[in-house]
Amino acid sequence: MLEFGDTIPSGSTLHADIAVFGAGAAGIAFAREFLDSNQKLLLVESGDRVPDSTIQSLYDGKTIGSPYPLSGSRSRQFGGSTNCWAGLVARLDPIDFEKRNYIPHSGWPIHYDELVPFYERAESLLQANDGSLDAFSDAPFSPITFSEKLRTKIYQWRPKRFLDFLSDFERSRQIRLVLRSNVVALHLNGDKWSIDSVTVKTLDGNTFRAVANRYVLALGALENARLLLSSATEDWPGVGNEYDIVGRFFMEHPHLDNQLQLMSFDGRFQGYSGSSDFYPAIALSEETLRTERLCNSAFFLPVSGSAPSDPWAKRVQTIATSFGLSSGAECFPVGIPIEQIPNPESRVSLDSERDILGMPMVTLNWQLTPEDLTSLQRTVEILVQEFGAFHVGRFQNSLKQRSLKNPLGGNHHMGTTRMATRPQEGVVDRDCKVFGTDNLYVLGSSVFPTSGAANPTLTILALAMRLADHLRKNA
Amino acid sequence: MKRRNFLSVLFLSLLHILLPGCASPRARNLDALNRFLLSLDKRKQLSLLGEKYLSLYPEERERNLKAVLLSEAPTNIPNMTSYLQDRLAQDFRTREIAQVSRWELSRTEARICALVHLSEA
Repeated sequence: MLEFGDTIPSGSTLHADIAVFGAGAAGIAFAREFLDSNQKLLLVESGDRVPDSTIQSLYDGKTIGSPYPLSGSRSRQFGGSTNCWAGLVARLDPIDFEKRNYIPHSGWPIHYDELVPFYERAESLLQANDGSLDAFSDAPFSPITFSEKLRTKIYQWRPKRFLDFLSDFERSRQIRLVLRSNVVALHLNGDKWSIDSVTVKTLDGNTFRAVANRYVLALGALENARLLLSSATEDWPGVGNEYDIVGRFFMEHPHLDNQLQLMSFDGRFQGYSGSSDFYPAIALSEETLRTERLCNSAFFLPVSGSAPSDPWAKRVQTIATSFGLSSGAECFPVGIPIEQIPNPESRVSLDSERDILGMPMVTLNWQLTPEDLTSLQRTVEILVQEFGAFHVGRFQNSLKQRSLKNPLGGNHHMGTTRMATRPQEGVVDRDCKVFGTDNLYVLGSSVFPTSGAANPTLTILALAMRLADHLRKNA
Repeated sequence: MKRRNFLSVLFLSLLHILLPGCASPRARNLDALNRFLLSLDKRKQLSLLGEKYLSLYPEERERNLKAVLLSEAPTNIPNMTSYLQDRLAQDFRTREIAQVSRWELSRTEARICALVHLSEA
């Protein structure tokens, strides 16, 4: 059933078993799991079916750290940011879930293996496979075999627009989808353990309440934190924020382009620019990441190789030819997304300025640490060493101290309501339930304690399906 | 190949054929390295790279680069190209890497270029 907030009488109350706020990848994937359920679900979304600049402006805010496109990196409409994503999907690596002593605040409270069945379901939803080399054995590229320190990791292009799922909800009798409706306040009972109700406002001035047994926030990593933080009062730090962690640990995948160029001595990296289906990346093996104490990363070759053109590249090619190492060198620009080290000072906080609904706007202070660059530099050094030692190629390396000064992000917002085993270290538990509450859950990449180097959507979907299973079993 | 270089190679080769066993293993290796250096094509390209390397690492001018390149050589290098390939692979394993115009090169290949430059100077 599809409705619009401005047609719901002001002051009314909508009842459901589960109320979900946010109809992006997480909220939609979660809600779809209840299409055949006997539980009544309310799905509330700020946006409409098409972009609306006024609604989109509710994302406006301030940045005080590295520059960041707060509004441009998101889409506030049904389908959420799947409306503007490139569609690259990959699983996180098993190591990404591990507690790594060399990465502060690392470690998920769940193991990779626990997520595998949900990754499989998420992949099925996107018509993707498991991304293994076996699944791409016929694809026209050669996996790396020359060095045990390196591997090929396959990403898949699956730019699914979740707007396509709208008809599922229009037809559903169990799910009530309400568009053009903004969650603005969480109301707790007296002892602050449970959410009693949620206030929803429309831009037309309608205000109504949602009352449910359980509540799921799937608003995105910036908005999830914004809503939780805005529940604070003068003498109380807000929902899930007893230890001042909500909004902290904001992470991105810092991207570096034009900082590295590969000269391959032979044709082995032909095909690494990918196709409309897959996109192989060069990565360090998990064992190397462990022994070298490095963050995860991926090295993409976004365009096909070309003959060396600048004078210095030609000279390097001449050396390779002189040593009998190359007869047909190709140069590739390299694109690098890296795992950001969780940093409590990288954070979302509330601004004194409010939006047109009266909600405090967000201030984002995206901060990297010197260790992020150190890890990347050593990673590049390993690539240089392995490609050199096995006579595979050379790199032109333009990384410098300033390289991560004003990084580009991948429009991947993560970490602001991180998952942990105890409230001193995070905001939600292993079941995505907010610490200190008994009926509030959070979905999306805001719960990621670490980011790996994989695009987050597949993991967002897997976690959404996992929570749906959990809530169905514990109805 | 320039006429002067051709004559040098010819002379050294004749010496090698006519006087086998006369030279010490060290001299034979040095001879093989000299012949490798003289056999290189596109010397101008290599020389420019070597010049840049020497400007970035001026201490290399003070070294006997040929001796450095042959420092861990076997008594009789059967194939200089293979020897140098192994050596530059070893450079990368041991982080003997030089950055020239932001290209990450093995010390061995950079030194070969430096020797080409010095021979042309």
